[in-house]
Amino acid sequence: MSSSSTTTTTTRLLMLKASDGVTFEVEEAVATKLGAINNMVEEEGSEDLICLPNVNGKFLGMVLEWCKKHANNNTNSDKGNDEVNKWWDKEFVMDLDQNTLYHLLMAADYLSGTELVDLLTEKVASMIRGKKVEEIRETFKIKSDFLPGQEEEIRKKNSWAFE
Amino acid sequence: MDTLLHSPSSMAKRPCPSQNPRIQNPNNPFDMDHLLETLLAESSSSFSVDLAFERLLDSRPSDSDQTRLIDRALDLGALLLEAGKRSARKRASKHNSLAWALPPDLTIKVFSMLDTQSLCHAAATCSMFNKCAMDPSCYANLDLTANAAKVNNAVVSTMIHRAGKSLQSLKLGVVQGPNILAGSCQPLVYTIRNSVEVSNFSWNDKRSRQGKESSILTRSCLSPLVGGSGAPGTLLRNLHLYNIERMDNTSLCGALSACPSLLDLEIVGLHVELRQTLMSVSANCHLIERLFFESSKTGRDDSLKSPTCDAFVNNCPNLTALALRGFKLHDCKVRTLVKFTENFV
Repeated sequence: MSSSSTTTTTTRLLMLKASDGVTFEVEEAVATKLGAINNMVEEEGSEDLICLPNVNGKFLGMVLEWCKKHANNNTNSDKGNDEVNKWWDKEFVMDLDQNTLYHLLMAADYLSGTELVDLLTEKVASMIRGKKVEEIRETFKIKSDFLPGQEEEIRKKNSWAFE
Repeated sequence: MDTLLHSPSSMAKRPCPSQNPRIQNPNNPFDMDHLLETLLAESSSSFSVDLAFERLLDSRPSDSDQTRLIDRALDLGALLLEAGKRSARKRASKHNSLAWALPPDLTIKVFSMLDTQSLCHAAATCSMFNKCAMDPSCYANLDLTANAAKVNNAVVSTMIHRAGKSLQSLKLGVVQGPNILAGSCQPLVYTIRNSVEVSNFSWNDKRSRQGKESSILTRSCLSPLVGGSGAPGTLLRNLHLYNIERMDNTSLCGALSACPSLLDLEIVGLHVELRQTLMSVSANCHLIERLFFESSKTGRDDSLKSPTCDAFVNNCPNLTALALRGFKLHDCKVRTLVKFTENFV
């Protein structure tokens, strides 16, 4: 994450445009929490509209909502921020359906929102953790596409994990 | 699902379907399409296939002709079975890439957050996951404490080699009881103010551990970390060892000497000396930030001498959390350890 929050002089606004034409007006300090936007601002300045062709409005909006929340929490008080952020993060990922989760994660990755990527990958990992092969297939609607005998071979290679 | 089986697309490409199936040449792809389509039509029940095959067989007078016909039928059956399975696999792969929208790099990142047992289960679900699970960075954080009773030296060695230079974190052994979990998670261990905790924690539950699952790892379980330059231990940051009863001083110190980047060392219930461990850490792991050491015995470790404490304090300036549980230490040694930490507040 960049350290721009300490260097902000005023609340400069940036215009971000998503792939479907939806635009967002965001405080620079918030938007530059995203590595990709921070780079663009540093390289090209923030005068123009910043176009983000690889992310649509719905997910850009969600990413920015997360950034805003974290930026606000961090300016409020110095103590207990982590707790507030943690609690809020938990709420944020709680009710995401799988499809939203995947696309939000890809959007966060594209925008280099490292902390958000970590939060979302952890969420996906928590859906796999402790599950058996069949349960993982069921959870993610995945089908076996192995060659005959291939799955047995994979299980055999890691037999300790299946006993 | 099975609508695709009867897809008419292959028919559409056929320019001129012949009227009489008898003169079809199976080597002509268009005729083959037609033949197969007829054969796979909904009407072909096993009963009708049976009857037709019987009739065909009866129409062949010679025994050798009949044998040849039966062989062909078996071959064709096998061919169709193979073709069906192959198509099913292809379709399953395609389905999976739609159901799991994440690209490989993010899948690998997700996998790197799993404990190693869960990772092995994920690897056996489909070929896409299996491929992603071969990436060394999936094994960067090895946590082999789940199903620990089945984890032997060979498993540890395999996993460490899969990680190679990506290895950052290694957790081994049998984690037991809420005591230990609480100890390793409590925030107080991480705060500088409470960074030295020397409690009279006694290993009362040692007896209760008997009969529970115990680690089958031996003292050489960490040897895969050691090697020439670029050994897997080189970049290791976290090492947590729980109740590996056969671990000894020499082996632990040997492993630590291969881990110059270690930041976090947690040792619970090992039969190793505090003095030897501190000496080894201060000689090899200068970057250490957190040390958590819980004795395997209720006993004391009188062997710890003040010079060892001094050396440890001087060689490891980054230390911000130190917890020694189950030891009776002299005040002066505690003071040395505490004083040092206070210097860095």
